[in-house]
Amino acid sequence: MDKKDLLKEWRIWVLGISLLVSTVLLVPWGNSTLFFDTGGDQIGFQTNLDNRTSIEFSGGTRLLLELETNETGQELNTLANNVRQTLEIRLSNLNIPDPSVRVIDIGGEEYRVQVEVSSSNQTRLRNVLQREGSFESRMPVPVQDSRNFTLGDFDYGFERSDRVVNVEGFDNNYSASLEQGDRIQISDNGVNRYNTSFVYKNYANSSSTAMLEAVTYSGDDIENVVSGESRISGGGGNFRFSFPVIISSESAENRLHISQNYRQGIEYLELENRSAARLRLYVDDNLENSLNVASVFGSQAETRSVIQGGGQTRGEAEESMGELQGILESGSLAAPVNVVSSSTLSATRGGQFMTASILSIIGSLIAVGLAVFARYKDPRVVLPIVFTGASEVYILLGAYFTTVGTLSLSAVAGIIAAVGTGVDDQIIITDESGREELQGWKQKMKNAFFVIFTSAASTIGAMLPILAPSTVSYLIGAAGLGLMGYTLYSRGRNKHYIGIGAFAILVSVFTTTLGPSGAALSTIHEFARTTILGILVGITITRPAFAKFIEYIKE
Amino acid sequence: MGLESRLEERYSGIYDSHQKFFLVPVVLILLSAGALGFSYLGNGEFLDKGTDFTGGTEAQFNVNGSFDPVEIEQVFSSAGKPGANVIVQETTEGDNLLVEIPPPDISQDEARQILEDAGYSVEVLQFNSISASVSEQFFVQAQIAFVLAFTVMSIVIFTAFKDITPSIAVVFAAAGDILVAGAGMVILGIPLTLGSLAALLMLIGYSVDTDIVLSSRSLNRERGSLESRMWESLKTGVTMSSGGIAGFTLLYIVSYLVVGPSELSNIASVMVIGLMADMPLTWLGNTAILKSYIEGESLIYRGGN
Repeated sequence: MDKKDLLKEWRIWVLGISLLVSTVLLVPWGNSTLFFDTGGDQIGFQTNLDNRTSIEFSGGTRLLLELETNETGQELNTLANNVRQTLEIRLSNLNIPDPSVRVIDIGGEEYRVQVEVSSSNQTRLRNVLQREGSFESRMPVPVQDSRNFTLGDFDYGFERSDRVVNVEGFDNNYSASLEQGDRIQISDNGVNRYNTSFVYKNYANSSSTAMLEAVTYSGDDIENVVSGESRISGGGGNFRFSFPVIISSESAENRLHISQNYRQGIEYLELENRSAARLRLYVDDNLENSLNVASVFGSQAETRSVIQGGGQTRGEAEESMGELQGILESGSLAAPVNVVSSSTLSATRGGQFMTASILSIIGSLIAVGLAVFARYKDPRVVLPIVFTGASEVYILLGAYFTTVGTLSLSAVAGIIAAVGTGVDDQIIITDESGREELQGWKQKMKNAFFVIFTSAASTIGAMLPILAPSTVSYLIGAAGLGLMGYTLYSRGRNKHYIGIGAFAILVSVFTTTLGPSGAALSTIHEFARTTILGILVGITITRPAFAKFIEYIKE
Repeated sequence: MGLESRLEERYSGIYDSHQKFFLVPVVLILLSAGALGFSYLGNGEFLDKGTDFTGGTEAQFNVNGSFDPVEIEQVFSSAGKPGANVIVQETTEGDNLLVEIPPPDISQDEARQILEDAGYSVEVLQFNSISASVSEQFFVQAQIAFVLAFTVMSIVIFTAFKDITPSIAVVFAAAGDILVAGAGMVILGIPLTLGSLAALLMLIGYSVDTDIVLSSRSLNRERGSLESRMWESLKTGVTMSSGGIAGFTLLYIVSYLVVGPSELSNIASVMVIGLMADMPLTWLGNTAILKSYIEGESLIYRGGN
């Protein structure tokens, strides 16, 4: 084989095209790929990998959430997916790029929700995720001794006796007795298919007043959060935010009926003692803010309402607004959640891991090169081995990590493992090719590729249970049946296959009953995927090309 | 006489006394089993399970100023978190504080608050916590993955070689590698985590490479004597293992220097131990089994040569 023949060889072309495609995928076309740091004393390349790194390199937080429910199996999966959708909406309001929320099956019919974000602020994240998210807007209904309250055409009487408030309907047979913390719902309120809720919030000993609150609308009534009209104003340690929401017509009517029980002040609604009737905004029954209520709400059923809040700094106000908008848009969680696992990496630590990974990949290629050089002492053999190893890394980075994969710490370990198996195979090819000339080149490569394919199948087989243990478990059962069938079909050839087949079936049945789940080992998924892909890239692209190159050198 | 010729001559001596040298891997496996058994008697576990599989909290802090690990253990104990294990991690960017707290898991804020209340100014570099129930489920899944991986590898080997003896030799060599790597983890104090589990699974695939080279060449009777075929296999296999050992040693050194002990250094050390164990197990153990099988000799060492 001369140089011309080598260059015409399709295996070399496949390798060349793969490297070219990887380059195209790695380079951010249209942007400058060469960068200097702000000090100008460091230089580097920007690649499309920059946005595809896991929290281990970019810094961030990964949380595993457990649902507070007795459901299991499919019901739990459905519930977990509802929670996932709610959390996705909440996180999208936090201005965190590419938050990832997914339901994972940890085995044994148990499901959890995994959240991964690039923020290291675990406190804020927990605050947003763990909040049940039930929002209510309430108006105060103080009951000192007794008072009347109208809801549409229906009149009700509230009467305090010691700490208990008795409610009676004058136009119907409604009657209820409330103690602190109780809640009632009244359906005769002049609004179709809508109940008015009253909450007995607290009892003030000093004024002997029972403070009830009427719910004007809740998070479920909000049809749209108009984030586009959000405003931040103020300064000097007192920043305010505001944004409009659109509520359902039923809840608007409910609010009108409740508001008609207050005095119409010049600007705002007032209590009987002429103090402002302040609207209270609650999230998970915690008071978030209280606002004056414009008089217009006492005369019109307005579906547009403005939510307000604040913070000491502009940033705090923005954060609070984002969190509240997220909760209002997403609604309440289908079930309360608890954090059962959390991982946080600071950006500093992520940077250190990145440095270690880059140095390790380059260093391992050099170290392998030196080890191989010690054996062959021939740069014509060693350089192609190192080049082929580097090509595998390059193709993996370009074709996989810029498109599908996430570059994580376990992926780096997988890259190094894949380089190792690749170099092993090239050593096998080199040694097979150099053996005595009793056999032709084809037979030599057949021997080499028998070893390569068998070891590739073993390694891929060892990695697959990390990703899909259920499927592997079934496949092992099928393989066991196949081995037994083969022995019977071949009339007793390889009788030990009966025992191995039976053992495989036992393993399959045993592991299946345990409820295998790949998601439980999700932290090392990228390790398994990268190793498997590295091996596949090796046996389909780089090793055939390397074999041809060695043939060229040997001839 | 060149180095290679001298090594070949030395190998010839080993080849002739394969029964005697077969004791080396046997003793290695027995010692490893002993180390694992000792660990089991000591703490009820063959391998020291990491936070991934026991639950609890593991946090790394950058401390502004000096700190005393014993004092920090007491700080956590006084805050109602007894049993905290504090390690000082030396990295190229200074000393970090690694705190391991047994279950129940605590939150990042809680851990930082305990240190700040004790007068330390800290920055959280890394924080992992996991509840005991979830980690228990992870451990079940890890064991399932391990059993499946080993079964798949065994089926591949039995199908590829068909003959029972060479196949069993390969499978035993792989099991031996895992056993020795496990013993190495016990001796060096490397915990079983998701990372080290990945390394053990990888070792299943990695360790059979050399065994496949040896078995396929030894069983191919068309070329040269068995001794020369085995010698050629050894040269190939040792180069393969050396490449792997060199690569993973470098991964260990670099990751240890840059970030201190981490999942990367755990993976690297498990791989290095396993690959080093693979050499005697393959070239003294598997070789002896194959030689006995091919030449019909007894494998039992009865003294003498």
